[in-house]
Amino acid sequence: MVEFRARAVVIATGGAGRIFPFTTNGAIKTGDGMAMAYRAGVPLKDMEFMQYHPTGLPGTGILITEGSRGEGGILVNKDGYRYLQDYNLGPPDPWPRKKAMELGPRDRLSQAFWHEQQKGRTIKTPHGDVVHLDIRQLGEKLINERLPMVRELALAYVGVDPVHAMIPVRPVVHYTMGGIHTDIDTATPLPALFAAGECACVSINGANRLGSNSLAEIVVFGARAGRAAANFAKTNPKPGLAGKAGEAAQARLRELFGREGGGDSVSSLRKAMNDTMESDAGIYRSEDRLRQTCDTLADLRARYRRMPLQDRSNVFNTDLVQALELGCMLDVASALAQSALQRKESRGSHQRLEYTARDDANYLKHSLASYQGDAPPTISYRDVVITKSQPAERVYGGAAT
Amino acid sequence: MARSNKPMLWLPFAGGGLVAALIIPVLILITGVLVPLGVLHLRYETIAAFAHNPLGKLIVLGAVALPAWHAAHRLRMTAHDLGLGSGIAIKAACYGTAWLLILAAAGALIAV
Amino acid sequence: MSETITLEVLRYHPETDSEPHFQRYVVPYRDDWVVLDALNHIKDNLDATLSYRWSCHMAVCGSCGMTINGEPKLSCHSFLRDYRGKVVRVEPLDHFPIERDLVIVMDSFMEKLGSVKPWLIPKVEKPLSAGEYLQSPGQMQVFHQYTQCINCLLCYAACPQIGLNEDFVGPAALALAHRYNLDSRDGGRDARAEVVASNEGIWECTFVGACSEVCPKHVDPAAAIQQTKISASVGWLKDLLTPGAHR
Repeated sequence: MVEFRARAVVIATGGAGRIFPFTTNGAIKTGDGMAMAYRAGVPLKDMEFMQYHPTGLPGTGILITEGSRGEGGILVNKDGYRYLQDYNLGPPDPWPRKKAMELGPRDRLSQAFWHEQQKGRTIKTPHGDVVHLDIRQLGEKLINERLPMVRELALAYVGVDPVHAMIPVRPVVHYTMGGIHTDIDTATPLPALFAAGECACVSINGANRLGSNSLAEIVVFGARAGRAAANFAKTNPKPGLAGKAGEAAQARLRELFGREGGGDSVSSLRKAMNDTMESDAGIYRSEDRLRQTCDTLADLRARYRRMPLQDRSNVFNTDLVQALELGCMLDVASALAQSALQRKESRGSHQRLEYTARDDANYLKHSLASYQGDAPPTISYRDVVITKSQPAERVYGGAAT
Repeated sequence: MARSNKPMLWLPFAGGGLVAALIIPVLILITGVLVPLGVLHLRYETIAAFAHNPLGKLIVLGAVALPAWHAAHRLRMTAHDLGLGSGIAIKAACYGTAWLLILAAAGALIAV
Repeated sequence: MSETITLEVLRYHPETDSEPHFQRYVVPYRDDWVVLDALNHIKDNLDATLSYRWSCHMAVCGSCGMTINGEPKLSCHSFLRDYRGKVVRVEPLDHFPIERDLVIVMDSFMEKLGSVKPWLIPKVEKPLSAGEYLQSPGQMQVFHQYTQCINCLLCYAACPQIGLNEDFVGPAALALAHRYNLDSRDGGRDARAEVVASNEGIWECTFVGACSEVCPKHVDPAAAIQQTKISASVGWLKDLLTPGAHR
């Protein structure tokens, strides 16, 4: 192990979409930085808010950009019907227009898919149910100019040329609104520790992030984190050697290498985690299913502590890396599940079947999940900071303005 | 690392490639096919007058020198790629041959 | 019994192997699977000790470059349906030292990338208060293609000159230098020329063009290098005819 002694640390490790089985996220998005801060005593804020992007390719989860709808693409169910008009996002025409139909917010579109699925109006494929994204009406020239990657991805990964056929899509886990609790200058409650980007929760994105805001966020808060960390480093001394903490970390690693036996592996525990998150902590949640997830995760965390490595080498050991990532994912997943269980209302991307309305009186608050080691996290709340914009009803659709 | 003087070799190489591509096929067609077949008739007096003219001498020299240089540089590169290295012997053989051709052409044009 | 396909994968473990060897795995054949899906199946179900790099699974992060049946490819963009009925041989990228299994040591590339000064060097420094450096969409189009490099190293694996001389700065690094040289906001061509126009820079290239053939993002590094040869030669002539004048 190598010890880094830094006057200030900025965590910018991204989100945790890989706790779900079907996600746009790359392999590395396992919430490692979130787990590190969480275990060090920094609460994870608003973890229950996980964004499903409405248009991912079935099977791979590859993202089909929102831009395809921005350019005028439409979503239809198995009857060729633009179903979003049934969910307070219509009328369908004129099209395209802002904040209506396919340009509605991501949480509402993903929720509409779930409802269409319940009604049996989605299309069945070997990779699960889908709806169709139709951009044929944009024409080949515009598609090649503005959406070349959409055409390339659809052709390569689902064998569809969107110039001539509709693209099969379904909601896919995409962005973690929650994360490491920071203030508006990226500082966490732990002195010298800062966080920025998807791993952090200022919160900029609330219960549902708008398209492109994560890019704007990293530019703004990346710069703030850099400046804040530099200022802190200038005015604070270098920390001493890690000492006991370093020895303990080394000991944990040696213990992991030394484990024998057991039927569990990284892939088997990861699959079990993925399965429970998708079935019981997905777009729509309920009390018993969330309790089930919390229990399953607690069990998986216990089994994880006994799980042996299959590769014990010291050179580029990716079994070890995946094992460490799994540990982080299990911690982050339990924070998500517990926060979701405690929030007894529906708000943005967190939807409860038994509490369908938004409850500002009790829940206009950020949730804070605090690490309790082997025990499940404790959840507390913190008022939302409201300055210029006042909470109101989220209204979409209607006539063109 | 420092800026290389390779442009000294590369500029005439690039120019030679352009000239070779533009005129060599046509020259082969004319002198190797059309004239022998009697399709085209070139009169000695016309060509000689061209070669007597200073501008004409320059054009003929260019048509020989640049492609020769291009071939030399390309053969040197190929020798390197084939594992024959890029030592002084290879360079002397390639560029030396090109210089011989160029000087011979120049000499002949001056004499004419 | 459903259809299967065989992968023959290079294994190398520096702590126990004196040299690399091949190991065969039989995996399910799926029409829409890529080689990466097969590797993940192997790691998750057959052999957790197999090491390889990957992340995005959509040909945009550049992590999963490998040699597949002799060609440098992204394993997430190599479809099993194109190898149906054959054995798929999977090896690490050519021209780089092997660290472990399919993982190469890419330190030399990271150094080369840094050596071409891949950042904006403004023509005239101005403070933040003076505002942004403006650029029109047309000016951006001039260099847009060269911004698309994902550092996947397929071009280095394909380039025979890299094979002959590992000091060659190489296609991706030179294409990136070109990206900055073409940027209207940049004035760093001279500063980069020390490395770019050196013997190990553009002049090691003999325009084989294999780099552009294998590039998954259509960057066309070969074009970048040839264009740079012209500008470097013009610069050399200027220096010769008017020494020190244009600095």
